[in-house]
Amino acid sequence: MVSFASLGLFGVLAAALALPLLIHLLNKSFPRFLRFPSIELIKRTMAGRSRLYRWRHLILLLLRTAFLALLLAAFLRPVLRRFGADPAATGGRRVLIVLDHSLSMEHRGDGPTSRERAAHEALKLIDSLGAEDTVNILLMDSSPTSCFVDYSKDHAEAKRFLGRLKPGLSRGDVNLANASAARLTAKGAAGRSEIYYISDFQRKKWANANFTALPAAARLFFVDVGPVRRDNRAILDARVSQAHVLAGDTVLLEVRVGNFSDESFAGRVTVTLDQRFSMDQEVSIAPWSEAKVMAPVSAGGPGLHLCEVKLPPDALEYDNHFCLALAVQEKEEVLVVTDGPSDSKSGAFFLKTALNPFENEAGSLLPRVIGSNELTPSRLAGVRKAFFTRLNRLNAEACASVAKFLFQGGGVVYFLDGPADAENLPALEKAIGPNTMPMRLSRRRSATNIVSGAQQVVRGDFKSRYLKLFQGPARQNLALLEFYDYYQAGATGAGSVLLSYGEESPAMAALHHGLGTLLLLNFSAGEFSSNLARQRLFPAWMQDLVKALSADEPPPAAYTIGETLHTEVWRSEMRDQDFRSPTGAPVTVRRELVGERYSVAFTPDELGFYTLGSPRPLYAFGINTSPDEADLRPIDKNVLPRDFAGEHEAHFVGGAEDFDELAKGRPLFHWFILGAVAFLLLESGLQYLLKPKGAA
Amino acid sequence: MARLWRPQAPVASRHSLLLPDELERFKNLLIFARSTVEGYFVGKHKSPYRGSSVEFTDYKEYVPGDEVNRIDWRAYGRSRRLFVRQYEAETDMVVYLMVDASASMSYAGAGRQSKFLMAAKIAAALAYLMIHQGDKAALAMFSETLNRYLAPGGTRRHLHNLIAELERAEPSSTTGIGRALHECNILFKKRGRLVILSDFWTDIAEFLDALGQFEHRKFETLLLHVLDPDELSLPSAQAARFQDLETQEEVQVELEEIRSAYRARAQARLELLADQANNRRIRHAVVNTQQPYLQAIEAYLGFRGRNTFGKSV
Repeated sequence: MVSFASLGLFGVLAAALALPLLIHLLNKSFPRFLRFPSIELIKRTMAGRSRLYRWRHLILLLLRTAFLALLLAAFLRPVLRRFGADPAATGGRRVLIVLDHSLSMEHRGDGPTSRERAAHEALKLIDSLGAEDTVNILLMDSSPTSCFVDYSKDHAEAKRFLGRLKPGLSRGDVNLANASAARLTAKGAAGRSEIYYISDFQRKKWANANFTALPAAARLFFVDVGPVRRDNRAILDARVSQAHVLAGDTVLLEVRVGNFSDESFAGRVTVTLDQRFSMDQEVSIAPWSEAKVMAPVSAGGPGLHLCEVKLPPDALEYDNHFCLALAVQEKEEVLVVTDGPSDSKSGAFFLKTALNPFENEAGSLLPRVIGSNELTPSRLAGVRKAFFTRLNRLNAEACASVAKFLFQGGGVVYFLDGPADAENLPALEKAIGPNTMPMRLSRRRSATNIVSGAQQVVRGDFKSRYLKLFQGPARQNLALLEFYDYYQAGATGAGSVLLSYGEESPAMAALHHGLGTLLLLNFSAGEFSSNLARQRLFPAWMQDLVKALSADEPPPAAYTIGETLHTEVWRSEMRDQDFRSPTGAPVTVRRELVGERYSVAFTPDELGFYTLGSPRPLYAFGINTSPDEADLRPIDKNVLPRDFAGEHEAHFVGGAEDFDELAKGRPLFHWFILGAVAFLLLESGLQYLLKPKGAA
Repeated sequence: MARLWRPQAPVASRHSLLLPDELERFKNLLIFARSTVEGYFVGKHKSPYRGSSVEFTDYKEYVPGDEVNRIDWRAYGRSRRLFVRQYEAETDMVVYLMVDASASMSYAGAGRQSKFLMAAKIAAALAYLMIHQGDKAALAMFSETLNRYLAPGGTRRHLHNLIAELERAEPSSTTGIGRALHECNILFKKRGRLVILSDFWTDIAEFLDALGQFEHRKFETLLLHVLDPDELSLPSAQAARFQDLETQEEVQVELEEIRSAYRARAQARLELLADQANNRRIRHAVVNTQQPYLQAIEAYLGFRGRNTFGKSV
């Protein structure tokens, strides 16, 4: 739609349009009246003229008027209104630049990064502003920040702000940015507010964008600065396959790698531990797919180990590097609580041997045998796992201690092979809570009174993490087990029954109390009670139970940049040292003293390891990019203004748009002049062609 | 040699109906005729009057076979055409002068005399010449039809009457040459020469068709095409509203727009009439109101040489 910026001149210029008509009328000769001998020849001559010739005067008049109209209209400053531009509007513009400062903008697809292109576009936009126009810049990342508290006329400072822009590494939150934009724009008149979103419009980031909080009168512009090719590979996640890593363990590192491109990726994943030990793992991923790579890592000694996983470099390097802190624990002490004999034929002996079969207790588990009378809170405080076998009657304090132990995350494996187990379970249920025990014991069945053969497990929930050793083809190992002593029992419906005997009694059940787990094994490891201890799988199973008995989710080994990190440290540990960023700079943290521990919170803004303590870190937090920023595919451009902008006037413009034109419209002065010249040439040509031949 | 004009007493009897200004014009026309004709022949050093000589009464154009010693070389030097003296016996013709008195003949260009006045003057001069050379002249004036007919005569009285008729006439009505010719064909008893003075704004085919009667009767016909220059190239003006003198029909036109095309059409019409006339062995000459009467006289004289068909002048 064409409009005119200087409509004030219209009255004067419109009058001038009458000139051609006036000249035409003045030039039109008043005819002389002549009596002539015969007009027949005159009439025949007039009839012989072409229609064009006859209409010549009118055509020329129209051409002259058109020429003059275009020429005069050019002085009214015609502009082509686009995107709701209002060139005649008075008053300053209020321009808010929402600049995508997320990780995806660091993609160096076509040379410069999208962020650099965005800054360039923002500079162009600021250059197009007049002295009365105000501007503000809002960085869209995980925690939006703005250049000014309110709109400002200080365009130079806005440019400097853009010049100081560092790479954005966090995840962009469009709705959070819109909320900030809404607060900024709500302060003043929204009539001339313009909000420019300069982004690569990565799909995941923009898919749920919501603009309803913005003033309805604000005009929205979406400026795409993303590259044409947006291929990327990224490490989406890396975690240790087990909750607790003990010194000497070889753990599996599960690395999830994404290939977000049209081409397959075949390369290596490099795992480095403490910047000293590294190993490569081949990986091959189809286009637009993810793959899980299992990399075995030798845990090393106890303490924190800094593990880094890397991919070969590509156009977005920040997500090719993943950091995680590997906390390797000392040998874990495991209590074996028994009131029975600990000779070589007892279940306690087999259990202790299974937990650490190595000479000189070289394994990662340190089983300690105690009696049930030592079941106190202080004794349980030093461990996280306990095995019960051949227990006598547990008193109320012991039950309470066990219940608290479980509640705080401890794990107990209770072999129901003692004389008082039928009483202990109800006592424990009393301490834990009513209707929590998964089975109710009745009669004890022993080898002497089993009618025929030994009991075997016929049914089980093999998806349970406590039965990993029996998953898949390994299930056949269950057929090897024979149990001679067990309790006849019935499932109560509470907890979960993991294994069942042929005669329907539960063989293994689990209950969760608080953060901990109580596993009830309705059999014994004793030599004469089953053949379990003689199986090769017994030590592995027992050690696996120890590993599996942790809380459901291990503490995170890695964090995402931009998200506030909370942890607790001992007061003494922070006495003389600070948290350090990956570059070694001290980090300002918020801390609150609770007893002898500080509750610490800070928001990391660099990738890498934030540590406390040196040379060996006491605490380490691996900070990584958000996996949501890895897939760089853009949202459908047409969708954004139409489906998301709601009632707002929204337009999607290319990165090369002239921002001055967006605001004021595209000037058409030169087109009007060209048009006027064209009409003039046409008029001259027509006049020459239709000139009466032989005119006097 | 020109003579001084002296007022004379009005001629009595049949000219008593003329008003004094008409009489004045009559005298002027007579004097004009005389002076024109005599002036023409002064240059030839010959008298137009028939004298007592029996050898010479008139001139005719030389044709091969005529006696070379009778060629008048002075006339040749003047006109570049060969004339021979003719005996009295060779003349004694009746010349019928048909003068167009329609409204279109009343047109007079700026600063020029009207076509009718020119035609009348030419007719008067020719009548004077004819009578003084011993021929008889008749006058027929027409417009839509034959308006007035004066039977052939050769006396001075007849000449005066003829001229009086010319003086009295007022151009009016439309041009109906064809019908007039039909009427004249009945009235013109004796074969002779037919001189038509008109602007010929009529249907050419119809006119020539009517003229065929005279062709058939072996009349020698001369068409004196009287035109004003404006009729050939339109008056000087930017725009004009023309009214037809005969039909009163009007048309408005930008003259510059059509001048060139009109000129071509007018010339083409002229040439068409000339060609058609030539095809019928009819002499055609154009008399321009801007040009001297000499050409009209010469046309007649050339016409008397019946084998010569000159171009339109």
